[in-house]
Amino acid sequence: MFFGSACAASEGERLLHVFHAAWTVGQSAIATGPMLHIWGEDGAKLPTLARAASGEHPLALDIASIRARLGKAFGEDAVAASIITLELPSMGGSVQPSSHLARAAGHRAEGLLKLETVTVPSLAVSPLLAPVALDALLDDAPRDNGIGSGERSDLIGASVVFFGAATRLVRSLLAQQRFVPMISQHGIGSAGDFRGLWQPWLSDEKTAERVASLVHGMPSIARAGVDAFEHQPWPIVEDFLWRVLDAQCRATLTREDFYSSVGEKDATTDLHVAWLQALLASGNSVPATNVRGQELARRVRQWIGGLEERGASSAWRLMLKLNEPIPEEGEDDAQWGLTFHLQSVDRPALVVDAVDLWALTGDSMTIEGKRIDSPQELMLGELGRASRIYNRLEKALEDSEPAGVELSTRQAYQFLREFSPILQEQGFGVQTPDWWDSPLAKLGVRLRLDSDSMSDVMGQSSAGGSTASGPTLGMGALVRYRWEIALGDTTLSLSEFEKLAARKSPLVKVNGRWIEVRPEDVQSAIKFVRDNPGGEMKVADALRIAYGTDPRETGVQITGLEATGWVAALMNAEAATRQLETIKPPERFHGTLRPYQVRGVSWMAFLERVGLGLCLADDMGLGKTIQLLALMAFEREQMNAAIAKLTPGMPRPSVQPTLLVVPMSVVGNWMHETARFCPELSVLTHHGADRLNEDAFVEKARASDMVITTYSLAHRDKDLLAKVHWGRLVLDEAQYIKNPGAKQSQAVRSIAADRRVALTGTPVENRLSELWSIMDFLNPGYLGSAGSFRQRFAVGIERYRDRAKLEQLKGLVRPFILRRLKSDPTVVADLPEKVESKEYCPLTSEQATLYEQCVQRMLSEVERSEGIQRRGLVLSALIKLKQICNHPTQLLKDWQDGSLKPPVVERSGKCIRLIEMLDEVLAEGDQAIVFTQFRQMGNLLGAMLRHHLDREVLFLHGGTTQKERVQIVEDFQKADGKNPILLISLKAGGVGLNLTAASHVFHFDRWWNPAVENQATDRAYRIGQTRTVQVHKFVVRGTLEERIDQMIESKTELAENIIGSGERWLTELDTTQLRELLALRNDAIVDEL
Amino acid sequence: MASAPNSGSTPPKPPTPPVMRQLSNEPVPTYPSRPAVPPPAQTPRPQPYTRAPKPLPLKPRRVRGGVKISTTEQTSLWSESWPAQRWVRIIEQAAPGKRAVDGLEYASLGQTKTLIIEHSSLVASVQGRAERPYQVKFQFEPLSPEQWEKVGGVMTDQAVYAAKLLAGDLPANIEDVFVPLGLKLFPTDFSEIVFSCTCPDHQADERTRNASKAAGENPGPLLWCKHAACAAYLLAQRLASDPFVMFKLRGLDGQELLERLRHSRAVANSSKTNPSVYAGRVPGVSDTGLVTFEATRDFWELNSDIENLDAPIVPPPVSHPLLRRLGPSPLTGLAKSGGDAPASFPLVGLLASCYEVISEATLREELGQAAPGENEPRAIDSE
Repeated sequence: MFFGSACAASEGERLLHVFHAAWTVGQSAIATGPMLHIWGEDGAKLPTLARAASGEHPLALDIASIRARLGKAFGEDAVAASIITLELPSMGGSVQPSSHLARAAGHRAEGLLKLETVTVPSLAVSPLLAPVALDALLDDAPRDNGIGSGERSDLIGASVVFFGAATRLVRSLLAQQRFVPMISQHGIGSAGDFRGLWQPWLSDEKTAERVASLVHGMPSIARAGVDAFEHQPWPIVEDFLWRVLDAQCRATLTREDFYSSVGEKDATTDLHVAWLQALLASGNSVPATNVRGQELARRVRQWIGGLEERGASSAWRLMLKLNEPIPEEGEDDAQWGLTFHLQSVDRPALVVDAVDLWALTGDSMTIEGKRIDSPQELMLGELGRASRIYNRLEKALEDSEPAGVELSTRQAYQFLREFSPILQEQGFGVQTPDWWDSPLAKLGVRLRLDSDSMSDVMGQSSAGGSTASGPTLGMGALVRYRWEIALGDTTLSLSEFEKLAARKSPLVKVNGRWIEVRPEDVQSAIKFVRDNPGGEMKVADALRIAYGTDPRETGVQITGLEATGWVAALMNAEAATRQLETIKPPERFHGTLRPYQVRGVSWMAFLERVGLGLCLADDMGLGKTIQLLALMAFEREQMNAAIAKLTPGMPRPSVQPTLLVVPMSVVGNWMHETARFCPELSVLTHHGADRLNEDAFVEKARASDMVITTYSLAHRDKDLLAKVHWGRLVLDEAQYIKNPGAKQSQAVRSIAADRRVALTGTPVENRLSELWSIMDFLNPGYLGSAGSFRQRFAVGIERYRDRAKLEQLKGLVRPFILRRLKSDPTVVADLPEKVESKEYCPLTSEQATLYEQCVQRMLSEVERSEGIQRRGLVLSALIKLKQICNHPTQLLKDWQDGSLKPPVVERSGKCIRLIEMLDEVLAEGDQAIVFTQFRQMGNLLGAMLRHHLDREVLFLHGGTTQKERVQIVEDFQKADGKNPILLISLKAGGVGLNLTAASHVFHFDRWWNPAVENQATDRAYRIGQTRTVQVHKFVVRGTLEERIDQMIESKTELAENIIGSGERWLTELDTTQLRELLALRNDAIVDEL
Repeated sequence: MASAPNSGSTPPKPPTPPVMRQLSNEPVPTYPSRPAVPPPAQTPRPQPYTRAPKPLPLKPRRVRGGVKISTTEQTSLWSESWPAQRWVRIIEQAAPGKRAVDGLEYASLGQTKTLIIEHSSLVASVQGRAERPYQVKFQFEPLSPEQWEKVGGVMTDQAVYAAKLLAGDLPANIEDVFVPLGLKLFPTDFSEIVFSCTCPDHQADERTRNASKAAGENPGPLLWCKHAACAAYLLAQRLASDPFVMFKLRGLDGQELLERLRHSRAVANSSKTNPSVYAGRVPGVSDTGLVTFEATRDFWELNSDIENLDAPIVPPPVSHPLLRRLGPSPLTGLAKSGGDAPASFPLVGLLASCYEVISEATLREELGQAAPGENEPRAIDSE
């Protein structure tokens, strides 16, 4: 996932802003001490970069724009403008744009020479408001990119992401109560020099790890301020955490009016009051006391220091082990043994029992090469230390050779629940029984559903054809349910549980296993089951309740769902593919389905049968198109079988047409693949200026098996499309509706259809707005409104990485999304080492016009010429046509390398498709090589890809020096995510290079020589490659590219000729043949927009 | 106190095996073994040595309810208790031969009417053959309060002393506490104990000694009489059962010692001998060296997975865990300066509710549990 991304689509005059943050001291009217300064770069100022005055950042964004971005809480009366001083990379005395801005302009970030000190206007945000400001920047940040994705035109720099993460740490510390009241001294100790403060407690292992990852991961831009921190990460992070946490604590305490508890009291006579007044008020100064301020500070610091106390030995520590009672004992009078041990800190498995210690005669012992000095004293000392936290240990200390204490069940529970976490924090070892804190050993309620058996459900399909969701199926289908009390994996009836609960024991033994039964949960569980006696509910509600319920709402933990019948198969798409009976591959399908594809089709058929919308989200290259086509073939076969059984006179069921909505860029692919695998399906492509209208369309559509149209037409012709009863609505590249508010998204959601299918190759589960949008398309209302979804899931998951929420959400959508990865073992086994496919790309109308003009001009010229001149004309026209297919700019030369904006992607069908596909490649964490014949095209692609993917793009071409070449290959092979894309424009395809870090190879344009292309492909597909290599060959449909590709594939004599002679054979063709070969065919897909 | 199952197991071995002394085989009369309740202290009456001794019976006069040790008790005492063993060695030095044998016989017969151990001295009234019991007194050299302070400090540093004493055992290495301070708990030679007895034997010993002193000879040590030996054996019995006896003989009451240990252990527990003052160190972070700041290629880039920093916004497993670890208020006994302030301020309780309120507010605000818009300046998606 990208933290920042370029804007997209129609570039136009949109302003580009990049936002940054610094924790530094600024020059402003109000600011004292470091604050969070928000500043920005203004893309519109890029042209003025060269003539900037020194001293000020030439690209600085104005204060008003920053305020506008942050929102109304950051008006002039609330947050002051300021000026900060930064050290930034510069070249030739001129400050360079951030890499985000550079990439947005399509540039490769060049080597940075030196640091330059500049000033920049900023908004100085107080520690109290800093989290709000960061949220405002991050929450609305574009989180992904690609074509047509964004309406926003601003980017979020790494510094904002960084301080956002630091804020998350502060919130985590606040929630987990990991901070301490403190006092600090400013000055030399007279009254009033003391300040109370709430200080983050960072010394614990886990917190320290988090802080360390912050400090070590701090990007340079986040520490660019010129101030007393001297660019050092730790002091900046520390100051940020301290101030922000203190401000948040005070804000809460002030709001809750804690101050009134001490405000009236006299601070001069009571140090408690003095300190608390400085902690609970909005100000932090300890009120004038008397000379004993020093004593207060000393005592407090020593007190807090006790948290760091780590016993006498750094190598050994006390370990307390709770032993279960022997099985014969009853629960109530059971005696749990808490035994004492010394445990090696480095090797926790190394444990000495106290009993053995007391038998020692010497004053040291050695165990497995580790020495313990005075082990008896160490044990007693440790027990003494631990008894301060857990005072039950004091009793043991009265024994001269304490080896353990006995605990009642209640005491054992108290030890587990209350004391063991604290003891562990204080550095003691604690060994609890393995069932403790296991989700399997908890009290909860379980939803049990009963539904019709699978065979009943699937049986209807053969009998009833495609009449789809009957009244008993679908999201609205009713299933019988009841609630059960679950103790671990044991289910109890209410009366059994009540009997158990009457014992009022916090730990109970059920079926030989101990289970925690929190007293506070018992009544709520009983009440819940009493209040919810069972009955019938909708499948959708059952899923929502089982996975999406907050225990704080129900008062009881819902530990899952158990189902019988078809609902059981529904619970998990992945599991369902393994359990479902697979379909027989349809005979009319002209191709061989791989085993995982058969499973995929079977799952799709099942979900459609039970009336649910589904999303097939397999990795790119696993054949989503094929699976959908196979599903359609299967459906027809079922239908025909049903018809064959009919007696004359009965109404003939029919398959309603499928409406397939796709991006323009893949219309050609679908046409091609449908013709290849399911030639018997009648397909209507609703596209282009001459598309059918009104009744003609409706009539033709009803007679078709499938109608292909584009997202933009789905919106524009939505009234027309509504006139047809669609049996199925399929969205390909469903991420196109990721923005729920966009017109296209609303349009496709409004189209009525019996069944709904979404295909996407991006990991939708990680892109939440996309996930909601797709799920809402598939099963409207299931995830609630966009607003409630955001409130319930998105904020927690995206801002706080709330894993529990994420799991909950995954549970909710798991039944409907089947996503298999190339790396899945069950898939890998079915995949060959190399998969080749062609991508049939459309032309834009600009490309089509240029192409036609070029062909016409050439034809009229060759008429009038011959010999070498004619040959020259043909060859140059050929090159021009290829260039037009690549990108009009390649021919028109209307873009300068180094321009402030990249070439417009939307002018080329191939470029659009390439970026779409690379987006998926990156989302899957893969790397790709892109081959082009033209170095100029490499430059254009580099600029476009940097802009749209916001990643560095490497480029190897004939002018690359040997040294650069080595560096580029090394950077690419590192596969560290920084340089995932390598462009290559070399005559020999870079023979000799080893580029196994790529698992995708794109041939953007073609050599028309399979041998040459294979040589290039083999850069990735060679020894050392461990994954399947996917080869994507781009072909523009309806142009000479497709025609020549067909000729080569036909393997005729002509094909031999073509391959053998390069392009010379073309020059031998007569004008008619040339026209035949080159002219734009009417099945070309032309984007008319 | 010593009721825990493990108490009374073997202490470290004594340096030398105990010397077993067996009395003659004559039957020992049995008396109630309950120690006599000591009568009010009697001051020994000086006996003018000029008076001629009366003829005395061969056997000592019977004492009803006298303090005594049974023979079986002796065996186990001597072999199991190292303080008793050590003391017995002193007795054997001080009352060689028959004196010790007779003393032990007196002790097992229960000839001792009273035995009083008080501040640095032992006074016993032992019934011999004479009509009136003899008064025996041992005077030990007490430690000064300052010396005890030091001893107490050392003992609390090493929890084993406190733990064993509290458990009713005198740790075998107890002298390790005293020796480094130039002190001792047990006398190492009987001459360190000032001894007196009102019996004629002792008077005679003193006369002989004075005579040889006057003659300019080395008088030799003043040996103990059998009455002294008897009292001393009874002290051995006490030493075996009460770890505080020797402390009392050095001038420190057992209860006082216990209090002192409890107190200083509490102090040691709440602030270690080397109290650590919070320094704000973060392991692995604050101690790293200077980080360079250069105009590198990745100046603007996030080079780690900071975006996915795992910092869950969840309540703590146990409420206010740090406060629980901190224990009682650091300001106890310090806060008051005037007379009006309340004796105890509920500091910890107040802080605890601060923690709860702050945690709850964070959870509520940040995880969207609050009603939209409440306390939140940020815009809420209203779709």
